[in-house]
Amino acid sequence: MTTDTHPNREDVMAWLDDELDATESAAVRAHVDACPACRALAGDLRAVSAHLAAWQIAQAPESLKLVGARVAPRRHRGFWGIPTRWQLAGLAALLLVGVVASLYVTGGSNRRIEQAAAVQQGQSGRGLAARNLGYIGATSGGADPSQPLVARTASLRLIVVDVDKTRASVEQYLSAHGGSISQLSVSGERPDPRSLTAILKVPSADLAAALAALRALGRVQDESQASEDVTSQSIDLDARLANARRTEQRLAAILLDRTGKVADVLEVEREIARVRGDIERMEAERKQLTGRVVMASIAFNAGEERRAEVTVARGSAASDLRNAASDGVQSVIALGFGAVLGLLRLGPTLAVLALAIAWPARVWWRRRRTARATAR
Amino acid sequence: MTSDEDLMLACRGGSATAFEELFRRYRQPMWGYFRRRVADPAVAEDLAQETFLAVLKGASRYQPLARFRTYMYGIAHNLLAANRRQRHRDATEPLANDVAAPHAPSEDDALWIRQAVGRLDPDDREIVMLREFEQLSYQEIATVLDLPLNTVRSRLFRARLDLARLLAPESEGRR
Repeated sequence: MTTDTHPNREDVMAWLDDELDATESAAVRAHVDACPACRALAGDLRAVSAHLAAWQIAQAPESLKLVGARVAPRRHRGFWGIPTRWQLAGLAALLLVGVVASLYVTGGSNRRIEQAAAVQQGQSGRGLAARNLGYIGATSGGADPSQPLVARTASLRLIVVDVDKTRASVEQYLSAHGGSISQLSVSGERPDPRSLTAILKVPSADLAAALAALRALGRVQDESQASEDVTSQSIDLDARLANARRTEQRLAAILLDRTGKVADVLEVEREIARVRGDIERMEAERKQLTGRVVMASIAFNAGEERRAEVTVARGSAASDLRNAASDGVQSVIALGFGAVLGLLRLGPTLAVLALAIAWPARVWWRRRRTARATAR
Repeated sequence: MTSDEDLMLACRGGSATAFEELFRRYRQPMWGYFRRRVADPAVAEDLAQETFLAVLKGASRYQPLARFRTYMYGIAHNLLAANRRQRHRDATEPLANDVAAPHAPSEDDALWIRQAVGRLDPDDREIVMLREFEQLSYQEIATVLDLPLNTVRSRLFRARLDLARLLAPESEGRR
């Protein structure tokens, strides 16, 4: 195998997956090391695996367990598919959360409003920002503490006439309504149908209107929406953040005393640094959570309809003829070379077989001729 | 360490301890298998439980003809297929793409991965997921999905190239 004779591309993949035997693996590895094209293919395949490796799954729930040597019985469900015992627990928890949240979120509401305003920075529309702050503020101490925090996502796939026009319309809408494009790709090349894929960010309060506007751009193939209640996650995060800040303050007060040994002081400083790291991580998480609630994400895909067209042969006919002739000569050479290789591979075997068959055949023929001669 | 196959043979002989060990080993992998394929975590948990139940019920008939994990994922695959058929029959509206939302470093990365994986052909998607997440060999995937080995290879290759194209934007970078 040389850089001129590439292995089967699937063999490169099989080599990466440890599916080849030792000999094949060594040959493919040596080729990939020397061949930029195959090295690029291997790189692309590794990148796919790296992307997918980011798809983490949370730990299995505690309720997935064995009871003795039996599997835990399936959960019995009450109304709306929610287990009955959880309904009662949920009511009690809701009551408690309502009381705690009304005391707690009053203190944290100012910080959340500031963070929401920071998320809105750079987007057009002060009124838009105010409306979305109201969306968050509705859960703060001012208004209704039981209103949940919900992160909304949607996906929409359309068939459109022209991807470029669709893209321009999408960008125009987002610009006018305080949205943005988080990620975008356009694939395909004319005259083949092209496809646009993007992650759009729109204010959560305007999700329905945004979806209606996007639907109008083409023919809907499929659509879905999802909501995730992140209220408990938010409350838990705020509680942990408050605890961490109190811990930091206590440690700072200890440090101010400086009455202990140097080793103790150093230990306190290390602990402050660790707690500060936790606080910053949780604040980043808080900001991300707020962002998810304030701005809904739409996974948007628009594909052009295939339009068959009569195309005149493009490019140089002479070039096509030359390439065809070259391919033809190459085929003849490959055929001839293959025939020679075949003869070399099979020749010795055929020769031995011929000898093994020819000698007894000759003997038999002679005896037959003699027998005929004597019979006359 | 006792192999899965030996543990299962011990289960066949009535050992509860052996099944507990198998459960401990495969609890998280089974949860992960269903959680990536079913959007509703409650349904995923039910299916994981049903898989262990099916393994336990079939213990008396178990024959170590293939690796235990191939056997287990084969059961899981059949249960998932039956669940999907049931949900399609019961649905009054077309079901949305049932790829569970992944956890990823950022929410956008999660949606990006979900979008890309969701756009694969369903059969190709299953092959690439069994390889990337469950780490099954090509032969094991062929056994679980009842496909020829070469078909698994070629479809896995095609699916990975499709994902490479979908996950790495060509004309516009991520903003």
